[in-house]
Amino acid sequence: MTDDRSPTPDADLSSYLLGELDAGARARFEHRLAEDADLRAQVERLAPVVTRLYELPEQAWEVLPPSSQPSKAGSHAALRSGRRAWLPSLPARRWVAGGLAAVALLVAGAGAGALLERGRDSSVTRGPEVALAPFGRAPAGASANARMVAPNRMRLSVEDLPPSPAGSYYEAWLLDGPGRVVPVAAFSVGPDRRAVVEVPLPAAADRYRFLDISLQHVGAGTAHSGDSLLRGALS
Amino acid sequence: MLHDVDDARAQSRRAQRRDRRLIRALRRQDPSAIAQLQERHGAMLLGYLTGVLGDRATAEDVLQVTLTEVWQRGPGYDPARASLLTWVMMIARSRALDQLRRRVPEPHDPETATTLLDRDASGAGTEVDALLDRWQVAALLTQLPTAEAELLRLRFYRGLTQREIAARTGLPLGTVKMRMVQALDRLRTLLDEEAP
Repeated sequence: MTDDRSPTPDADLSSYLLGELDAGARARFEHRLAEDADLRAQVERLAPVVTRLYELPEQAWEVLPPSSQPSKAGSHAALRSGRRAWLPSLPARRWVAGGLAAVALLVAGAGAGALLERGRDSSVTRGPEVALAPFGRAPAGASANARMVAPNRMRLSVEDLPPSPAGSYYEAWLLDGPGRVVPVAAFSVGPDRRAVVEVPLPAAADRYRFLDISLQHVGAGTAHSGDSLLRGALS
Repeated sequence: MLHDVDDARAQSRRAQRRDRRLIRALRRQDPSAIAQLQERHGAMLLGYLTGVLGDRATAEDVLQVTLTEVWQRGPGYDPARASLLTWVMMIARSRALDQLRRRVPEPHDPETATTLLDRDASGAGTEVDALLDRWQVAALLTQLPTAEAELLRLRFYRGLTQREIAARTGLPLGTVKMRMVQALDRLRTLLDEEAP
């Protein structure tokens, strides 16, 4: 089926670009192309776009957010109306955003007190506990424990850590050897030398062997500083 | 047709407003910035990282590191130097390369490790950049008006001809063709805006 009867150049243009013209229609279009500089310019502008769309990995189409991926029924309605068929919803990996929002909250210092206070007052104490012991140059009395308080949600309580020095903060990490280090929360410690943080965890947190707390420096990059102060084995 | 143009413009303005809001949030390290970023570009970033690293779990880890870095560097982001999308994807690229370099001496899973590991550093970089380019195109698709993005999906992913799209959607063939050109043209404009 060819589309050579289309009355407008634009219509022939899309059919040409998409390879939907039969040989006769294609020859006529190319004849016109040779004589029409504007049309030629349009082809030159759009042909690379077509090529790049053909090169897109299938997964790219599959992970397009819902605002661009309406249901079959919604799809046609969107095409007919030109309006959005779905409102965007958060992707499945929402924990990443949630976790990092918590990280952001704490590093920024905004509302950190409220979050910590809320942690202290909460009475939820279910799930196994992981004890973190001093590591490296941590004060001998420093300690922490972590307990799952909901699926994929951990409460980390820290005791007797020095107050966060200016320009520094503490960060909790999941470790599985040097190649696998994932930050899960950043937090500050006040003059009372304590902190309680509730942290969303990655879905596959059980793949990691250690929970680690390091001292990090603002502006020194996002990698683990190497300055671990507390560490506990996850079992 | 005028209605379509108005809708497309309105969607474009909304997208621009969202981006400006996100940039402001990143600059002041607003806690909501990461969630906004995740919602806007998270799926694309994860797709890209999974493509580069060949392993979804590792890609999720690197995505988290990437988003953290974006948030931490947010106050220094300069829209005059690169669009937000380009900037974020370049950070993802760097972290992906870090991960690949770290992994080269000791690939954890030869079954899932990508062929990138078999190449030298420059070869891997080229491959990573090719994937970056493709996923940037994918990310730009999300900035198209929904109707145009869906049209491209039906054509380039579902493999329907314009006539089949018209039959399936009930749109006149002429409208499908017109909108196809509009979609390609708008995507080209977005690509030009992203070009360094």
